[in-house]
This record gives sequence, C-alpha cells and structure tokens, in this order.
Amino acid sequence: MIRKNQATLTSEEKARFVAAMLELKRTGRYDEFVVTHQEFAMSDSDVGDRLAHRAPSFLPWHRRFLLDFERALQEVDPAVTLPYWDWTDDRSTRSSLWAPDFLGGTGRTSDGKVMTGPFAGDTGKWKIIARTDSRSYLCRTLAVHEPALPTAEDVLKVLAEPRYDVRPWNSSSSSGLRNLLEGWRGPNLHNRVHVWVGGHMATGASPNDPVFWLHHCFIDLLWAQWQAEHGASYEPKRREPGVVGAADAMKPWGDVTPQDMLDHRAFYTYDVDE
Amino acid sequence: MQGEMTRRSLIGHVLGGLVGTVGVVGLGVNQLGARAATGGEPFFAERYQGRWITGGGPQAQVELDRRDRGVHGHHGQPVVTVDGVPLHVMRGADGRYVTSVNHYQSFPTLKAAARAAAESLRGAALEVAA
Repeated sequence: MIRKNQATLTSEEKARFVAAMLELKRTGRYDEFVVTHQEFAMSDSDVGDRLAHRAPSFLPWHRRFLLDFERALQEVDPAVTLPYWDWTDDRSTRSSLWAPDFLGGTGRTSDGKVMTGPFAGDTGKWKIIARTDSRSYLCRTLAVHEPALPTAEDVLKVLAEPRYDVRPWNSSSSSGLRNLLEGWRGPNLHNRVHVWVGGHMATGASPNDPVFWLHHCFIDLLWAQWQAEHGASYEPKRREPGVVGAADAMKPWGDVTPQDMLDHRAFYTYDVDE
Repeated sequence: MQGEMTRRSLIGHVLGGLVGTVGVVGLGVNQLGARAATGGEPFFAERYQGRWITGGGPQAQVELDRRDRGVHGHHGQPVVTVDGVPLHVMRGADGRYVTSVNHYQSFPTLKAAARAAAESLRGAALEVAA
C-alpha cells in the first residue's frame, strides 16, 4: 500500500478518493472521526492529561488516527489510500488541490462558505455535524488569517532537531522534533497550515475539512523522514505526569502504544521512501 | 437562535456575575475594564465587529444561568463569552490562550482570543460545548 503526493494523482484516483469520503459521510462514520478529534482537542492540556496535541504522542496518536480512517475508506474502496499535501511545494490557493474536481476552493468572503467542489454545502452531501458554531456547511478562508505556508527551508530546520521531544513535554518544550513540527515553537509547521486553511481547519473540529487528512499525512511523512535520519526513537521512555511513555496504551484505543506506531512501513509506504 | 430579549437577559446574568465577583455593584459596562480584586486578567466587555464579547480570569468566577445554557464557569478558570455563549478557552503553559474556534493559535490575552473568535465566526453563533 503506497501513499502518494496528491499532486500526482490521476483524475480517476481523485474521483475514487472523493467518492469514498462521501460514502463515509453518508453512513455517519466520517463524523465519528470528527467527534473523536474534537473531544481530544478540547481536553488536551499543557498542565493535565494530553495525548493528541501538545504532547509527545501527538505524532503516534495521529498516525493511528489516520490509519483507522484510511482503513474505513478502504472498506468502501480497497484501492484508495490517503494522499499527502506537500505544502512546501503546492503553496497557492490556485493549486489543483483546491480545484472543483478534488477538494474545492476557498470560502466566500461573507461567511466562509465553500462554494465549489464535491464538499461544498450546496451539494447537500457534506453537512457539518460536529462543530463549534452554527454553520452547517464547510468553511475555508485560504491565506486570510495566515499569509504564507511553511517553506522547505522551515521544514529542513525542524528536521535537523536531534531529540524527539524534551521536557516539559508540552507546547512550551523549547526544542525537539515534536513541538517544532506541531508548531508551538520554531518556524511553526503543522499549526500554521491549519490557520492558513482557516474555517473548520482552524477549529478543534478540523477533520470536518477533507484537507485535514492530506495535511496530517504530510506531517506523518515528515516524521518518517526525521526517523530515517535520527532513528525511530520516542521520548519519554516511561510515563511522566500528563503524558504517556513509549509502551503505554493511548486513548481512545487502549491497546495501541507509541512504540507500536514507530515504523510506518509495517502499515504503508510513501512514494518518496528510500 | 433565541430572541433579542432572551439574549439580553442572558448577558445581564453574565455581567451580573462579573460585577458580583469584583464586588463593585453598580458599575456600568464601560467601567468593567478594571482589574479584578482577585487578580488575573482585567474583565472586559465590549462590542467587537458587531458581537458582544466579555471575559476575565483566570481567577474570575462567572456563573451563567444554568437554566439558560447549562454551563457555568469554575473558580480558577478563564471565561470568555460571545453574545452570551461561553467559548471553550484553555490557558497554555506559557500563559497564552487557545480556544475551540482558533485551536491552532494562541493569544496573549483573553480579549485577543475573544476578538479572534468574533472574527472567525463571521456572524455565526457559537455553539455551547458539550
């Protein structure tokens, strides 16, 4: 199973990905993923228990979250894999990523409502259920609240971090791959992309926007590239206040540990893997 | 969406709670910028981009009418509302704030977080967190 750069997908591959997404939405399975993410987003705290954000397990938690989602897509269409969005390369609001045959474009100025593509509210096939405000249609404000996506140079700087993570294992960790990749310190990678897309992607219910999966797939790829250079380490080795150690089970699964998630090649490969 | 009178009545509850906590009953809305006696961020209440935003803390205790919204602020927890509806807000280790509307950005003050939420909402009503 190979995950590909979205820019290289054929028209048919895009159409099948979109169709599988719409089918998960229709059956209600899609919104279970949105709700799970939103619950963790609300409870992950710098000073309390944290798993999906602001924590060393940010990367393995999302790796498993994406795997579950990809498996759900494959129950609909076994040929579908998650594509990734390399935002260091596809940096424009006019990228084919945002075309009407794939994810659709930015929202209108008045209320952020996406008006084009298969996920536009007016299609009647993409109602927003788990949300933070009254808008029941997908919203985006591309490049409005954040002018520029991170650059390849920003990525290289973060991938040069020698440690996986450091104390206090939260958003104030001053170095380490995890916090710099998450974006609370350093050039701001992951967080900045959420803000650049805006609308639902800026909220705790960010998986409402299909681009969530393509963005996090690229974050996952960057983690794999860091591992290829620095080794598949995870810190902390043992549980510390608020955060799980390498062999501790993560919620919501209960039987999945960070070290279970260290080698992505056990599950899939990337088109750029050596 | 509830009517204008109901909304005003709810705002009254929120402001009543704020004033009660400061212990200076009778202050007008424009005077709520005063720093709370208990410390923390100054209370604020202002109209911003057509929205009524209020907030204060982290040591403020703001009680919303449970019958109206089923939500109340706890002691030691920052509180922000937009048009009377509480916004989920969290204080980071660096003292900055993140909200459920702008989950991937932090703001130096509760007022900055509330204003950013008002901008992001673009006229939409906040929904009360479960």
